[in-house]
Amino acid sequence: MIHLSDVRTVFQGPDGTVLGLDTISLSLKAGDFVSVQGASGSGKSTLLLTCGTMLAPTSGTVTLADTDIYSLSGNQRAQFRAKHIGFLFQQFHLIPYLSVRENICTPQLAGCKHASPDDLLEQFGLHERANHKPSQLSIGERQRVGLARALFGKPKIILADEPTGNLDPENSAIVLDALSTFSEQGGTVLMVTHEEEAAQHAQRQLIMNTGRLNDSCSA
Amino acid sequence: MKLSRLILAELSHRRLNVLIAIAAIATACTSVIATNALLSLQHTHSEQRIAVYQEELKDYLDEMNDDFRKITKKDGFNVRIFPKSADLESVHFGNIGKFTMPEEYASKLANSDLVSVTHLLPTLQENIKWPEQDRLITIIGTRNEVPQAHRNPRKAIQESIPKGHIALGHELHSSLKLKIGDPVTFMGQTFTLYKTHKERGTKEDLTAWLHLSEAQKLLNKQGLINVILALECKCAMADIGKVRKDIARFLPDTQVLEWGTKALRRMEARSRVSEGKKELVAKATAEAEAERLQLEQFAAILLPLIVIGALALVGFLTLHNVRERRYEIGVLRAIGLHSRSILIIILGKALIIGFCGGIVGIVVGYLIGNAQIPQAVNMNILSINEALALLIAAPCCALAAAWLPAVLAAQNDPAIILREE
Repeated sequence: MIHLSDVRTVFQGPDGTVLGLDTISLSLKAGDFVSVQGASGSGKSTLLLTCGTMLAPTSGTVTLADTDIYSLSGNQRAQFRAKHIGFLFQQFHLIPYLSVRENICTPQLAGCKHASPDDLLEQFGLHERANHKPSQLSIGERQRVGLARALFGKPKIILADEPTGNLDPENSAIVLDALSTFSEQGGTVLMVTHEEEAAQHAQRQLIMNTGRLNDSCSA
Repeated sequence: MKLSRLILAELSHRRLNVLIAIAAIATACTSVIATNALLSLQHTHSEQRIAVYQEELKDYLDEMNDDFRKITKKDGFNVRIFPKSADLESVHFGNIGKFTMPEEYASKLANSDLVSVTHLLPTLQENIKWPEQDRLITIIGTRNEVPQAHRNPRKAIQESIPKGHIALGHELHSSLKLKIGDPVTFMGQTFTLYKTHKERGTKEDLTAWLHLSEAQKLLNKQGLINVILALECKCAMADIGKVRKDIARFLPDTQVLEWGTKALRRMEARSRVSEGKKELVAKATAEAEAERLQLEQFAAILLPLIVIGALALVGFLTLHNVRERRYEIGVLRAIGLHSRSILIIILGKALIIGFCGGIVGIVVGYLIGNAQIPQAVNMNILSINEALALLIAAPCCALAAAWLPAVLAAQNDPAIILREE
């Protein structure tokens, strides 16, 4: 489902070039749940954005669902994201002026096929909060809305960036269980996290250090 | 969910931002309406003021024409009847000695049934050299008025010179130091000075007046004259043309010229006043036009400034809004929205703000205009077409103002935004 081959990403910083990804090769198939741990600045988010079709590598190829993703135009990649990828962010990034139900439905704006918002509301215990604004929700509820939004477009891949970073254990468990369920149903999850406990939920744990992936941590 | 729902929800969420932008557009629209109304009002006032001046002038001219008719009816015309052969140049320069007509023409006219011709004075005049004084003068021979058969005798307008006497113009008698009663030798004959004329400052100061028969004899033109003066000719229609026609019926080989009429002089004086009035109207018109131009020039500077200020504010607010929604735009791009959709979201909001601002501006402008402009001035503040034009222009201007921030938002790289987290 996700295949990275010799991906190298270099940024131009104020003090010269910065290595984001250093010749990474990685393969994730359907049903895989992979976590990536590493210190800040190790390249975790760069890896996630590269897999999320939003950050073209300096060299190497990224293949998602058998598509060489960076050979596509920007709009084609946006269409691909809408169709195949769900994102989950540490800061949730819910739209503050939309209700819970509307936030869950935002992928619909990109024209993708979608699940029933009511099922998702029910699944994540948000049905009573359907018409509330994000500012009226607890932190855990906000992340559950973020999770429901990521699943709304029936994606094949979920890219999660520190999804439990701000959550209590109970809500962390809800999110991680949902990601596990998604992978068990044939979806692919690539999760970046600082937390060992969260990483343990993945079938495979990778360590990232200065842009390189350490394969020795495979479960 | 549709993009329109997202736009409306955001409008509702950031009310203050939206209200300020709507107020800016509304202010611009109201300014356009107010300026337009002000210019129209000024134009209407000017037109009314000029119309009053023109009405006053018309009344004055009508009154003057009426006065002229009455005055000429009372005072009559003074006319001079010349031989038809006399050219105008000779007539106007007083050199008509070579043109003559029979003296009996005066009697013929006097014995006619004409009522429009009165006080007939046959005259012979010629420019000659006064041999004894070696001076160029005009000799004028006159006689008593020719009595008119069908009329009662009237008081003579002009006194005749008795035979054996002479009257001299001011220059002649003053230079020769002559007094009334002094003997004057003129063309070999001796006359008694009958009258000394006062200074007139014209060529009449160089004239010598004799009895007509003696002048005819001295000039060797017995029975001939060259001018018949007809003084205070009356005409019910106060029309010199009618007098001419009447005379031509009896003396077809003559020509009639008007001269020195009192009424004519009054008319000339009043014409000058009329000209003055016309100048005043022209001046008032020019002043009104200058005032209008000045106002237009002022509006041409002020109005664009207000509109540009309003659009700059809308542009600034849109830019602020786009920066505030940076993560939101990043997430929307991440979940698959095209940059085109981001452009639609930002410009859609600007379009609605422009439309609402246009409506508010039109309503407020119309109400203020109606409240400020006196009801007595029957003026349409805003036509339907103008309102429609504003309603189209306001959203277009808001779109233009929001265009750059919208393009910047659409070009935002979601990867950069999300990495900032």
